[in-house]
Parts: sequence; structure tokens; C-alpha cells
Amino acid sequence: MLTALKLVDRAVFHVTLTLAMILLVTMAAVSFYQVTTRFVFEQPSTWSEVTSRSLQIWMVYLGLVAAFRTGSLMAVDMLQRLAPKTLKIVVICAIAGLNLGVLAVMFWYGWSMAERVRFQTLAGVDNPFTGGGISIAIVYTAIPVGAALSIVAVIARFAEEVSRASRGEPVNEAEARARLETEGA
Amino acid sequence: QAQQALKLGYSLAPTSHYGVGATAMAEELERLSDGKFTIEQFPANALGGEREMVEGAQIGTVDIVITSTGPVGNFVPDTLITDIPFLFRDYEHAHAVLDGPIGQEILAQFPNHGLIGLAWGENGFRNLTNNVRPIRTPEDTQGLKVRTMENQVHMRAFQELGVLPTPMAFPELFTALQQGTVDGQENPIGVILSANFSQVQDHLTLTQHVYSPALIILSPIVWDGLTDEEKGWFEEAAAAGAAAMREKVREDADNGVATLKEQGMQVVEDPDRAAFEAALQPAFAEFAERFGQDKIDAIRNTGM
Amino acid sequence: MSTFMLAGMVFFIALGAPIAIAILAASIGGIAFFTPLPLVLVAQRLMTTIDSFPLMAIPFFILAGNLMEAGGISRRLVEFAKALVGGVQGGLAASCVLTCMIFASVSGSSVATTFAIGAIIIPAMIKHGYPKSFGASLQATSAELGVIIPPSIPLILYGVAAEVSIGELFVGGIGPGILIGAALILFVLVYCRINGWGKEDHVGRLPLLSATKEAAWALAMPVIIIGGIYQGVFTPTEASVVAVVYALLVGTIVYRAISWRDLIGVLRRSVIASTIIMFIIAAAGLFSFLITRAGVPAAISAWITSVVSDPAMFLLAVNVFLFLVGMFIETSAAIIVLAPILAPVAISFGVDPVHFGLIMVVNLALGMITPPFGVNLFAACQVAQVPLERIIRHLVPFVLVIVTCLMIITYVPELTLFFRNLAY
Ligand code: NA
Ligand code: NA
Repeated sequence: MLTALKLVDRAVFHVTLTLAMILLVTMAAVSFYQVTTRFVFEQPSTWSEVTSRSLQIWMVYLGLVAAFRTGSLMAVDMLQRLAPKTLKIVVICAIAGLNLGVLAVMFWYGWSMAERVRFQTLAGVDNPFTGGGISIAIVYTAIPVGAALSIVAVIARFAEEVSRASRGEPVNEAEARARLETEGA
Repeated sequence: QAQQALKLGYSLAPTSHYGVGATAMAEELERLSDGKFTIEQFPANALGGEREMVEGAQIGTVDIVITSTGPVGNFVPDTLITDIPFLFRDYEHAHAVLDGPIGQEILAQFPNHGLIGLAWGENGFRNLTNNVRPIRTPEDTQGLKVRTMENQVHMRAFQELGVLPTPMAFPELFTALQQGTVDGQENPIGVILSANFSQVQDHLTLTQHVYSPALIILSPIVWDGLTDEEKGWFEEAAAAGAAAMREKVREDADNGVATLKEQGMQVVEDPDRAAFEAALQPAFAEFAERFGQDKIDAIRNTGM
Repeated sequence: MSTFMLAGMVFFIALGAPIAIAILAASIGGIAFFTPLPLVLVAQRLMTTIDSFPLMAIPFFILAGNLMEAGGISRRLVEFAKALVGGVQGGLAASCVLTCMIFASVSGSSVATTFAIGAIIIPAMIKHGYPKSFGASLQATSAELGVIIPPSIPLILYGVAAEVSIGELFVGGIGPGILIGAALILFVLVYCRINGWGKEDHVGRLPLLSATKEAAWALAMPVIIIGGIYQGVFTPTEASVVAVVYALLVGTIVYRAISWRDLIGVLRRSVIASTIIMFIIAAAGLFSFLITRAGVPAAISAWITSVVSDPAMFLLAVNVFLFLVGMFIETSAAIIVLAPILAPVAISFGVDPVHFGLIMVVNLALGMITPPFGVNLFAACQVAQVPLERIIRHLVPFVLVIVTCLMIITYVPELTLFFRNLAY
């Protein structure tokens, strides 16, 4: 059971991060293509701007999974680092609860928003296969998908932090470094 | 009697024709409802860009929106027909169409798409500016890089004229014109004036190639809570707002061209409209297929 | 509602929640308890706020910065700056400012400047015995120049919102940019002398000629970027992606310093760093929407204009107000909301709109380094791997330097308008 969870956690992390990296490269390629078509070939592209903006949104919400999993979202973690063991675990639980609550809202209402706007089309691009419009729901879906996968990351990170804290080990790299420095000084 | 303060958003400055229209609508609504409904204005995209505000009306985060038809086509495809170039002859023609059965029929489509269309306002006719040469005929437009809106109908028409349509975010446009990233742009006179494009563009042609309406949109969440009498007040107030908006646009266009000349722009006032329309024939055929020749003809024949 | 949201945000941040989550949680609470608004608004703002072409410059400049670091461009720029000004005590700190000035003429974003230069200069400063927190504060502060020296994303936003020529604003940014750069260099030289840091900074510098030769490809970058923008090849936002391509080509083909493995690492770091910043901006977009809709900025602006009657007092009041706003609200959001409200008032007091634009942008750029919400601060902490509260002590003198410069920029309009009047 636990091994299965670990496998899911690792798979989610690697797949989302790899996809986000590919999206970043594609964004850059599309935007550079936009510059070259306009300036070098004098045939300005009409679809590239809206495409790269949409890719950016997917990159951010898929990238969020790795940001949660590695604990890299910016935070002022002074309280956590200075608190005694029991309080520290309470704080870790509270923050995980807050993260999960916000992600649940993002998931639930992100999904509901994507559903509501499904008949609205993206400006500036047509579906290359049908010639019709492309639904803006494609972009909005990034939020519920990113949020759902981030929930996995938050739970995995939480389990790790609690077990570290209960063993009295530093819960994140910043704390590890801070300890090293104070011990060294 | 409970008071209701409504949030009205638009993308331009409070002194613009949108601001004038919003104020007129607010005063009329307050008068008709004897103070029950008041309007609080949020100019200059304070509640988000136009697309976002229209979506906001849909989900109930913005109560009233004054917007160009640009983003509305993505919600209510029927409004796209107004994007066809040279569809309207002049202001009187445009007003007759939009205030008549054709325009009202389009507004009647709005509830099917989760919006209430109260009235047609106005941005005026769009005109072309550029930095390369004075434009009189379609030959003059060949190879110009012109910034256009992200609008398939506009882009298709410009391609037919040999223009290289370049979608670009408005915030980047001034610098792009200044540095020659694009050669020209097209907008109503009021926008050309307020964006100071005369500083970076030498030539203005009064092409009047597209008539740009505006829309006063209400959130269905507000609408559904109104009595029939109150609904009537909203429609009447919106009509008053639209009228004030049109008057201001007319004023700005009349004074605007003179001001732009004073600021050093070379103005071509009488381009060869017939030649442009002839050059656009292949595109018109496509538009007929897309929107229906009967609908286009009905608009063209209004008031003839 | 606004008070509740602000208090909630500060509480959650103090608890140690991710800042973006703290902002979102406070906003969600505000919506649910105090407004009739639907919660789908959360999703709408999280999408729409970052659905912006100018904002794409942030991930691209971050990627460019990481590529410049991996490919040896940043190192050579720093070497060049060191050869130029690094020979004295505190010279390395001065080089940080100078490098940021050079990079600012390529980049329109401060956060990106922090990532690009910080990754090289902060480790170098630590090696030379500077405290990590000083390095991070210096880097965060110097990176402000990214939005003051043209090109600049916030100046573009101001120009659009207040209907002022962006070309004039860019030229107007040169004077204030040089003033702040010079003031920072002067300050760090004195400050390092007082604290006894950087005594060995002159050691291991290259002679100017060979440093210049080494850095030729790196120094060509601003020329290509600025030249490209001013020749109309690309827009200021597109410049960021040109920077990516240039850094990639120079790093792989010319310097042969980037391997496939490095590239994966660069992408991984860039994705995570971009996500962190963009997610905070998205969350701030929801927060500022609620504050704006509640009429807070308009009410405060109306109050300022009702109590103040002469231009000098008005500018002082605006500066105090913007400083407070900058503590809590993201720069772009603040400009979009406030420029259309404040610029007309400034003009009615006889203040030149270009001058006022620079006052706003310099002040709100200061907001990028004032806690609790300062994107530069977050980025610098991320690069230096130091907790936020640890750098506050060294940050205070930097904030005072910028405030002094801001006062000079405010009350000596010629500083901004001299170059503008020369060019236009
Ligand atoms: Na810059
Ligand atoms: Na701040």
C-alpha cells in the first residue's frame, strides 16, 4: 500500500515536471518563431501570441506540483524553525491543511469555471483540424488539473516533513542550512 | 426599499466616451428608480480586461460592462457579423441597423450565452495609420505590417488587401510603432488621439474600414432578480447611456482629425472606398458563407 | 473585508504558509464571508492574471538568466564589472550593482535580473567573506534597476494605463537609473569599509583589457537586445525570448559550457522559479481585484486629493501612500490600478506625466524589496538560499538609500526630464 503511494507520488512529480519543462521550451520556441516570422520572413504569425500565453498557464499550474513537492514555494518559515518539536508538528499540520483547503477550492471551482466557459472560444486561433473555434476551457482546465496533482504532492511532502520533525531532523533544506551555520559559528 | 449599488467596469479613462456613457446611464437609472439603483464606475480595466469583464458579468463578479464587440464575439458568435469591413456606410446607417430589428435580434441572442445585452453603444469607425506612405488605394497597402486585433474576420480582410496583419498586445503597440516593429495600426480616432499615436505615425487615412460598436452588457444574475418594471428602467437607462456615448464619439471624431492634423499627421480624407471594396471581393465571398448572404444583404439594404 | 483579508494574509504568512497560499486563503475567506461573489472568481483570476503577454518576459528572463549562468555569460559580465570598479574595498559589492545596471539594459523585469546576476554574484560574495544576508539584500535592491533602466515592463504598463508615451518614459528612466546605480555603488563602498568587508576584493581580478575581451560576447548582448528593440526587430517582451536564444547559442556553441545534463537542470530550475513567482502574481491578482472592487484604492486617492493642496505636499503624500501600497501589492497590479487614478491628479497639480510615471515606478519598485510582499526579496532569498527574515537587518539601509534617491527624483524633475527633453 505504502509502496504504491510512493510510486504514485514519484510518477506525478516526474511527469508533471517533465511536461512543464517541455511547455517552457515550446513557449520559447513559439515566441521566437513569432519574432522570426515577422522580421525575417515578413509573414507575421497570427496564432503564436495566444498559443504561448496558454502554454504559459499550463506550465505554471503543472510546475506547481514540483514547487509543492520540493517545498520551494516562498514562505517565512521562522516560526517552524524555532518552534519546539510538538508545536512544530502542529504548525506543519496547520500549513498542510491550509494548502489542501486552497487547492481543494482551486480544484473544485477551477473545474466548475472550466465547465461554465466551455462555449467561449479563444480569440485569435482557430482549430486547425475543424476550422471552428477552440474552447477557452482548454486553458482553464490547467487550474483543476494542477491543483488535483498538487494535492498528491502536498500529502507526500507532509508525510515526509512530519516524520522528519518527529525524529528531530530539519524539515527542509533552509532549516538544514540554518542549523549547519549556527552549529558552525 | 433596499438599495442596490452596481459595479460597472470599462477599459478606458473616465473622461472617454465610455465614461460619458456610463455616467449618463447611472444618472438615468438613479432617476428612474428613484435612487434604488446606483452605479459605481471602475474605469481603466480596474476590474480586468474586456474579455475578463464580460466573463465576470457571466459569473456575477461584475454587474455591468461597457465593452467593444472585440471579445464579445467569443461569447456570442452572432456579434461577429459587425466585424465585416465596409458593412456600414455611415453613422446613420449603423445606428439604423443596430437600433432596428437586426441589432435587437442579436441582443436577443445574449441570454442563450449567459449574458444580457442591454444596448448598442459605439467606438466609431476604425481608421488606418502608418509610417510608410499615404494610403489612397489598395495598391498602397501592399506589404504593410499592420497591428490588428486578434480577430479572424479583420485579419482575413487585411490579408486580402496584401497587408501583413500582426496581432500584438496593446501595451506593446506604441513602442512597436515607434521602432518600426510594425508599420501601422488601425483604431477609431478617439483611440489614436488618446494613445498619442501621432507622435509615432506620419500618415492617417480615413478608411472608415470597420464600424466598431460597443455593448452595454448586464449580468444575468442581476437581471434575473429584477421585476419587469425594473428591467424596463435598465433598458431605458442603457439607451440613454448609449446615446450619450454616440454623441461623444461624434464630437471626438470631428475635433480629433483636426487635432491630429495640428499634431503633424498627414491625413488622406477621401480614400478610394470602391476600390477597397472591390479588392475585398474574395474575402466577402468567404464572409457570406460564414455569416449568410441574406443577413449581410439585410444589413446593407437597411435604409436604402 | 479588506481589514480581515489583510490580517488573515499576515497571520498565514507568519504561520509559515507559502505566501501565495496565504494570499489565496485570505482572499477566499474574504469572498466567502463578506461578499456575494461566487468562488469561481478564484479560478478566473488565477487564470486571467497570468494570461498576459508582457508577463511572459518573467519566465523567459529567468530561463535566460539561468542559461547565462550555466553558459558562463554572467560570470564574464561580473568579471568585467570587477575589472572596472572592483579594485577597492567593497569592490565586489559595487560590481554587483554595475552588473545589474548592464543587465537592466537587457531585461525589463527585476525578478529576472535577480535570478540572472544573483546566481553568480551571491556565491562570489560569500566566498569573499560577505554575509549571505547582505549579498541577498544588495542583489534584491540592485535588481530594482531592471525596471527603472529601460526597457521596463512597469513603465510600459504605466504608459498604457495613464496614456503617456512609452518612448518618453523609457528615456525618462535613464537619469533616475543612473542616480540609483551611482548611489548604491557609493553606499556599498562606504558600508563595506565600515563593516570591514571585502578587503580582498582586488585579488584575482582580470586586467580590464582581457576582462573586456573575455566578456565580448556577453557585452554584445545588451547591444543586440537594445539595438533589436530600437531597430524594431522585436518588442520589449519578445526581447526576453531573444535573450534566451542568444544565451543558449553563446553558452553551447561559442563557450561550449552547457551540456545536455546542464540544460535539463537549467530547465528544471527555471520551471520551478517561474512557477513560484507567477503563482504569487496570480494570487495577488485575486487579492487586488477584491480590494479594488471594494473601492479601497479609489477612496484613499480621493482622500489624499481632498486633504492636500500644493504640489510638493501632494507628491509627498503620494510617495507615502505608494510606499505602503508597495509593501503589500505586486508592482504591476498596483500600477494598473493606481496610475489611471493618480496620474490625472498629478497633471492637475502641474506635475509632468513622464516625471510622475518615474516617481510611481521607482516607488513601487521599492515595494519589490519591502516585506511582507516583495517579489525581489523572495527571488533573492531563493537564489541565496537564505530565509526571508534573516535578510531584513541588512535590507533597512538599502531601503533608506532608495528612499533618498526617490526624494531626489521626486523633487528634482530635471533628473527625469533632461534626457526626455533632449530626445523629444
Ligand atoms: Na530594464
Ligand atoms: Na513590498
